[in-house]
Amino acid sequence: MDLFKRAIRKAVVSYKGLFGMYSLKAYIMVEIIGPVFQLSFFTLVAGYVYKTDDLSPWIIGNAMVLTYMNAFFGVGAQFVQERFMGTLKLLIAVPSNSLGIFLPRVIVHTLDGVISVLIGLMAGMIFFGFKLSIVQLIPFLIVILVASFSAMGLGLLIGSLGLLTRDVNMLLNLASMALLSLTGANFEIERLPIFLQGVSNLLPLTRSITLCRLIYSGANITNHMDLLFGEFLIGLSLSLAGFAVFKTLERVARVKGTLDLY
Amino acid sequence: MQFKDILQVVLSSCKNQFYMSIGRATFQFCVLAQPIVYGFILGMMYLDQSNEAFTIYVLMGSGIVSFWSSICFSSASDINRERFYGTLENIFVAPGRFEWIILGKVIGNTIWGVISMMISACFVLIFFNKSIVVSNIGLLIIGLILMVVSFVAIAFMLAGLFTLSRSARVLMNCMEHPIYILCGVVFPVEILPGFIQPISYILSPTWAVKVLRLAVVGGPLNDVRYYLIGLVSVTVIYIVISALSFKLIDKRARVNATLGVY
Repeated sequence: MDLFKRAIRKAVVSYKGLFGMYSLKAYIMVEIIGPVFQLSFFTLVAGYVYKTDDLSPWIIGNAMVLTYMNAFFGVGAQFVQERFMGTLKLLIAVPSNSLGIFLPRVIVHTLDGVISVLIGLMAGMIFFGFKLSIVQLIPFLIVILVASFSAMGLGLLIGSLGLLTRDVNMLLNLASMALLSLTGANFEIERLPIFLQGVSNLLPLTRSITLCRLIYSGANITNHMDLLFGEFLIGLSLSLAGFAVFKTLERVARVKGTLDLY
Repeated sequence: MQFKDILQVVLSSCKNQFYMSIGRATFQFCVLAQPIVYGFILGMMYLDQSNEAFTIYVLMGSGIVSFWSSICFSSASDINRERFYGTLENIFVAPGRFEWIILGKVIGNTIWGVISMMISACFVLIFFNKSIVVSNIGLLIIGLILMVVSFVAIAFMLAGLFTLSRSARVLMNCMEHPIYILCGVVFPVEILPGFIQPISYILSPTWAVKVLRLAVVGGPLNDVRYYLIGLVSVTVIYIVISALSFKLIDKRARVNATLGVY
């Protein structure tokens, strides 16, 4: 119980650390206004290009993609931010397991990622007449939760790799654009060149976007559990890879004393 | 100050900014990577459309998108950055006037904006190998030149307004997509709800896009004249607002003494 309470406290503190400096206006701008405009932009383009009134596939796709904000600028940026603040070495040196320090942060961003997607879907309802029935809501929430976890896995990996660079922003932005362009959010994956289709299949969100669209069109989630498990496995693999990279860099840094040198 | 002195201040500031701004990873992403990503996404979406639509909305649209991004993440936030570095007061009291130094910075960033447009155009031409349609090359050149001048004016105005409002950091992250939507950069403004369209016409990119569109598909001379007058008029208004805001900055900085305060 104590462990659980501590995890919650760490999660809340890290979230406050990230957004605490924002005013309410700034928080709303970053968390709601910006993502809603991004979704609206791509949905409007799709509506014009594909000449259709049913914009639900693009609303779903672009809403799911919004998890990248938490994945990359929350989870992905955390190590580099700690290094920038000079606190990374303190976190490494504390007796607690580093997994116990960083995992709660991933959990809070996973949940925040779910909220981001829901905000996107609500924007779709308000501006584009997107409708989601109560029956579809639960399967949607399950898929969104797994998708958000999966995106955080990529964030964790990018964040760990970011310790190798002086400035992680380029890496974070490129990763976020990869999710926007290669997961099928805005056009069919089949349009991509073959090698990029392979990359798309390895990325988080690709399967979740497909699954949510299937659920929306009336399919039963139980008939497509392969997509859900696939998404979960990708998230788990990326998280483990990210943690392994972090532990390796931590070990090297202990030997060389270069953890916060950049 | 004589014209020669002003020119020297602007050029020095421009040169300095040209080298400094590209050193930031976020700006590198805006100038070098984002044009390719947006060109790629829009190209994939418009793949089956006519060559005219592809030229207008992918070749030019993705270029303008990149150009605007480089303005959002540079000129609009440069004052804020100077404030963060603690150098804003130094620039303000330098013998070369504050507004000329800022204008130099804006032009330095604009050169990168033009480069990002060229990167986008080259990528789209090479990757998609579609036929490009231009019915009036002269109008295209005039439109592009006026658009660049207009973007300099907008950036100059934003720099002034953000010095006064101090919301640059938040706004620059939220003002990208609204402009793409409102100005009809990648789809016609006419698909937007009627009550939003008047806002589009107080933004110069809307007029610039109209001119470039006429250069591609051709059109009556009256329309050309109308859009060119619109673009020039809006640009002049921006310049007037810039001049007024810099006067106000000068006054407030001396009365309130809070120029460097967040």
